[in-house]
This record gives sequence, C-alpha cells and structure tokens, in this order.
Amino acid sequence: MMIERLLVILYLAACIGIGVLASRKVLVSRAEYWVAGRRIGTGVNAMAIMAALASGGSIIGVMGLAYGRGIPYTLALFAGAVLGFPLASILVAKPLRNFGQFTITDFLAFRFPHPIIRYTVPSLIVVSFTVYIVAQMKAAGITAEALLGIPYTQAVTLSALVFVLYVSIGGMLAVTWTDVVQGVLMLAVVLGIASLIVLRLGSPVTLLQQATVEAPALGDVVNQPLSSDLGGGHSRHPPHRDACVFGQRRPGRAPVAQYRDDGLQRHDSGGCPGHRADGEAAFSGSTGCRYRLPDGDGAGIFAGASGARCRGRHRGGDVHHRCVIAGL
Amino acid sequence: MSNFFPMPRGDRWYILAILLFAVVSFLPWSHRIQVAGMALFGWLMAALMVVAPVVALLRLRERPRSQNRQDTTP
Repeated sequence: MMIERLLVILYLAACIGIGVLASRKVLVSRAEYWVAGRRIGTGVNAMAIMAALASGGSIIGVMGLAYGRGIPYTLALFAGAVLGFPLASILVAKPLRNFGQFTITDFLAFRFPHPIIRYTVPSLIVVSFTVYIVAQMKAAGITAEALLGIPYTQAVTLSALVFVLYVSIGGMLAVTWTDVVQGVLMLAVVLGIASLIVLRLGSPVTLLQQATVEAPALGDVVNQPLSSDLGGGHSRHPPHRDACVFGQRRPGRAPVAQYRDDGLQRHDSGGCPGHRADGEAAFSGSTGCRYRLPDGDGAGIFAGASGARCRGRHRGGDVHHRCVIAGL
Repeated sequence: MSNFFPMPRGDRWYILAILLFAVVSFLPWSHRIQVAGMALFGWLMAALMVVAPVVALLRLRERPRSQNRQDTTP
C-alpha cells in the first residue's frame, strides 16, 4: 500500500510540476494559453486526445458495460466515439482553424450573431462537461479508495484540486503534456495486460470464443429500445432484481425453466415455446411478461447452459426483461 | 441551404461512406449472424473503429501540408 501511495503522490506532484513549467511558457499570450501557440504536433496531439478520450469510463466502466450489455453494444459505443474524431476533423476542426478562433462558441457566435447563441452554447458546454467531469472524478475516487485505502471524498477532493491546479496555471500545454504522460501509462498497462492474457490463453478470437461459450449473451446484440438508457435505464418503474434458473435440458426438448420475481412468487415457464441449439429460450404468457428471441421483436433474452443461473434486471415495466448470465 | 464552407469531394465521399456503413451495419441482418461467438454487428463496429480513422489519416497524409492548413476549393 505504501508503494502505491508513493507512486500516486509522485504522479500528482509530476502533474503539478508540469503545470508550473508550462505556465512559464503559456502566460505570455491568449494563443499560448488556450491552444499552446498552435505548435503541438500531430503525434503528441493524437496521444493527448487518446488519453483524454480513454477516461475512467473507458478503463473502468467498459468491463461492466460489456458484461451487462454485451460486447457488440460496447463496440458500437466506442466505434461512435472513435468515429467522431475524423468527422470532427472534417466538419469542425478545419473551419474552426481557418476561422482563427479558439472555441466553438466563438465560431457559432460569428456564424449566427445573436446573444442567445453567445450565452446558450457555453452554458450547454459547461453543463455537459460538468456531468462528464463528475464521472471522471468518481472514477478517480473509486480507484483511489480501492487502491490506496483513502476515503472516497478525500480522494475526489484531492484529484479535483490537482486537476484544476495544473489546468488553470498551465493551460493547453500542461493539459497536453500531462495527457501524454497519462496516455503512455495507460497504453503500457492496457497493452501489457492484454498481451499477457493473449499469450496465456491464445489469440484474441480464441479468447472471445471461450468467453461467449461460457456466457453466450456476451456476443449477442442487446435488443432494447434506445430509451431504456434514459433516466438511469428505468423509465416507468423502479428497478428490481429478477432471477431465473434453468433446469436440466434434455436432448430434443425445450429447457425446463423457471422465472422468479424477487420477493414475489416463482413462476413456471410452462415449457419454453421455442428454443435454439445454443440454449436460448423464448418464454411467453404465463408470467405476465413476455420474453422473446433476439431475432424476434422483443427484449428478453435468457441464455445459458443447463443449470446456469442468471439474473435479470427489470427494464421498462412489464414488457422488457433482460437476463444477464452471472456467476457461471 | 448551401454549405457555408467548402468541402473537398473526398471528404464528402468519406462521410457518405461512413453513413452508409453505419446504416447497413445497424440493420437487423447483422445481429443474427454469429462469427466466433459474437454477432456480426460487433465485428462490423470493431472494423469501423479501426478503418475509419486509418482511412482519414491516410487521406490527410496524401494531401500537401498547405492544403491541410488552408481551406480547399469546393
């Protein structure tokens, strides 16, 4: 624990040191402070953007996301994020650079010269980035609490103070340098661990196959409406846990399965009206809820080997249930 | 409404290709086909995540530096 704490203290001190060093260069003009004099090269900028993109959500949240929503869903989310950069380079960066201003607000206020734009756009940016920063602070607090054993509140406060300090005194140059340091560290850790896992278990495809054999739902596309993510994913009813237990599956017969509402009562599926070779089953009717195959039009997927236990989360009232393999 | 800044033809094709790829990928057919345990949709998204920025970077490298900095003719 002492070594970890020492490393974190060194890292935070390095961030502040970078901010102080950068402040000597950037406090001479607005261009130096806001855009580092436009002198940052492509490679350094790419690494900085990568580090900014690969935030707490990417490093910590992605495992839970893939586990809960499946790998295709997670890949689609990240493909959208990655794709945003080339699109932004065409649609946003080039006109902004040619225009010679620093912010989206400057550009839009020029294009649409109205006070509403001047005040609304920065307000939206501040609100959205505040939400984003809160997520990063939370990730920093959770990590520090688990890794260093310091209280969550103190960890969040300390990390916020350090972030604000080096960004405010060092401007874009400090942000870029610290991002490069963070990017190198993240790449080393992520690629190092991935390489070790692949070396031990085989190719990434083999790894994926093993994972999806154990938990087929990982490879499926989550069949949920987009609105299920709004408001914490529970639009009409408060969340509660459901559970299902698969019984022994006999060759040529549908799996015997039960569905249980937590704290309510156990329902028998009455025999699954449909099943596939990979063990997915469709339930309907008897429980008052509907479960359909992913290639149907519904949302409920119960997947697993015989005897597998899985748990589902109630989503959207009496229609949408989703079952995620757990504890296989 | 006309575009208020000129966009090179290559950029237009790039955006159109990405849009087409996204639309085709999100159609239900890619959800049903499984490759190595994962829906084809996931593989298509993984491919998009790699190919789109690589193509954009290659296109950027092919242009003269002055053209990258200045606006281009429509």
